Amino acid sequence: MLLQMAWRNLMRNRRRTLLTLSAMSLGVCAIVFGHSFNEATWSKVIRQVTESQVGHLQVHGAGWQAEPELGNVVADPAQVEARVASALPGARLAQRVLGYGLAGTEKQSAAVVVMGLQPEREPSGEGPLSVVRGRALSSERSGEVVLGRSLADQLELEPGGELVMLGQAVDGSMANDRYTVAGVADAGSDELDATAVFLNLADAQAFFGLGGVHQLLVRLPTEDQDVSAHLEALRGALDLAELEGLSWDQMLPELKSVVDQKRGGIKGLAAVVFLIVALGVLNAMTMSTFERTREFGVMASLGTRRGTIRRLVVTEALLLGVVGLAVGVALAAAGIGAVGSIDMSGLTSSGDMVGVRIPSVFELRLYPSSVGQAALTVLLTVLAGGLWPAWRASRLKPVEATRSV
Amino acid sequence: MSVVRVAGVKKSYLAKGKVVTEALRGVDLVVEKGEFMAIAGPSGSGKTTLLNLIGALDTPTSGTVEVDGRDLGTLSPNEQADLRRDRIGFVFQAYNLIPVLSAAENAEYVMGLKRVPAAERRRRVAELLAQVGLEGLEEKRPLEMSGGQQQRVAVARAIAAEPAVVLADEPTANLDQATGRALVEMMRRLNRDRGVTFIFSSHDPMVLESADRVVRLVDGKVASDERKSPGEPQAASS
Repeated sequence: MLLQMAWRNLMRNRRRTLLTLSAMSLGVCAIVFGHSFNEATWSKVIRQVTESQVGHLQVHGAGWQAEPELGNVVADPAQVEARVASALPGARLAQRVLGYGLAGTEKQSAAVVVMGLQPEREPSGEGPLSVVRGRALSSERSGEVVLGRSLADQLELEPGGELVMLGQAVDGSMANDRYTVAGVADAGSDELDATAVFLNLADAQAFFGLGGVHQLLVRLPTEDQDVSAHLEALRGALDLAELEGLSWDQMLPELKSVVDQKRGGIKGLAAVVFLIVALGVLNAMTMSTFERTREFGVMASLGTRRGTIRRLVVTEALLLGVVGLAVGVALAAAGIGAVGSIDMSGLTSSGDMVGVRIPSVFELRLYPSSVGQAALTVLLTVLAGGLWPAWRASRLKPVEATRSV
Repeated sequence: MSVVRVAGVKKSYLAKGKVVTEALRGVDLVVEKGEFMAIAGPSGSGKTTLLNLIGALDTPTSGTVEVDGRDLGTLSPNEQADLRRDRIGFVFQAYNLIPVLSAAENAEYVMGLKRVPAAERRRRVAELLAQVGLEGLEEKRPLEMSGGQQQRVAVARAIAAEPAVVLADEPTANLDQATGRALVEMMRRLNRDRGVTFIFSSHDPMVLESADRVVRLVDGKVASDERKSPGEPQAASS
């Protein structure tokens, strides 16, 4: 009967209920839409980063992330891979070598990042394999390189051209070799585009005189951005005296910080909506309970306990919240469905942020976490707006309340 | 067996810490089970105050009020609410039905608080509404009913949960003569058929003539306590 009474009480003043519901629904719609837009943006960025650049997790020689010395390698990557594969079933693994050198032609030269990788184990069409001219790296040792797009422009090189690289080998001797340009790639960030020379892993190991690898990338079969549980499992499988295991957010703390900041912005929006809507709910519920002072007195006279009166008013507020949430989510879902994807290329130069390429096209979708955030906001809103009127209604003295007009 | 016992009850209303009204100045009263009793007196004599104290809606400044053997002064707010729910029925001058509930739902409201099973509630309410002449109006909301019909629902609500005593404050004050008479006859019938104890306040001569006992209050004190002899005629009897 409580639920029935609560609903009928809301329907007594339809205009007021409708106005409060409208404010709440629009607030929910704004939160869900904003949150979904934010998630669509950053989940795409993080997916791109974990796929093409750093993986979800990485294994290095201990201390390599802080001080990436050429000689600090994972000496037996095959054995480590076996342990990681056992600890993280379904994970895709890939080895990389990373060093620095000088690349040049007869006319031009540039300082470069030399990245040796296993093309067959990297996601096709991403980063180094996102070839815009020529062809991708071979999975065998070939004496070929793929250049970042800007670097190719700077060195005035095209597929088929020749490149000489100089560097320091792990034993301190001079490393130098001549390579054929197989292709030019959109490397995934402006920085890599301007500096990266990609080689087959075996070619890179030969160039630096290395026996092991610097990075063992772990790509997880998950869309979840929080990989802390996987990181724990990874660390459990490693000899931490010799190796280190890190997650993408530890390797790219600036990106993590920006993502957290953007998410914080949405929470700020939710807080503003919360404040506005809570005041609306408080006003509606206060008016509603003041108008019913006599009725609460009668209910108390008939033997209704204070707690039951409180529950009635809180139920009314919660009903407002449930309906407001449902309508708001439906509006947001309809809006997201209608918009589909947003192309920001006309609005911004799709540049990098903290070393990461920001995509210009985002596919919007309704995220459960967006609905969850809106639901939490609505719950707090209706409780903030409903508890005081409920408390007041329950504390009325029956003899005085029944005299109220 | 007494249902209500009022001993040395005084009630003063204060403003800024000073007594501004002495509504009751020492009232003693005992009401036996099954009585059909009226509290009479001019406006301001303390009738409503006395009913409020018996109904645990207010607390006396001094003295004790017992209902069904329980001293109301010793009860917590929730215990008072439970006592009102279980042992006391109320009929208000202004009907005071809950506007969002139908006639049947209003009548079964107190039973719902007592967690009487729904089937039993419906059965009792159907029987009671028929008894108070409201058959066919079960689904009507208060605003769709006349004053007399609303007051009948209020009486049905008051007795549905089988209280020890029904307190009716000026139950006919807002009704025309014929409707008021019919209501009193109905309450009288319920008193006789079901043994429900009624205490009502009124200054309507028709109502007072129908009562078995009339306690007159003047200036917050019992001025007279008259009981009718069994053969004495009653103006509003059926």
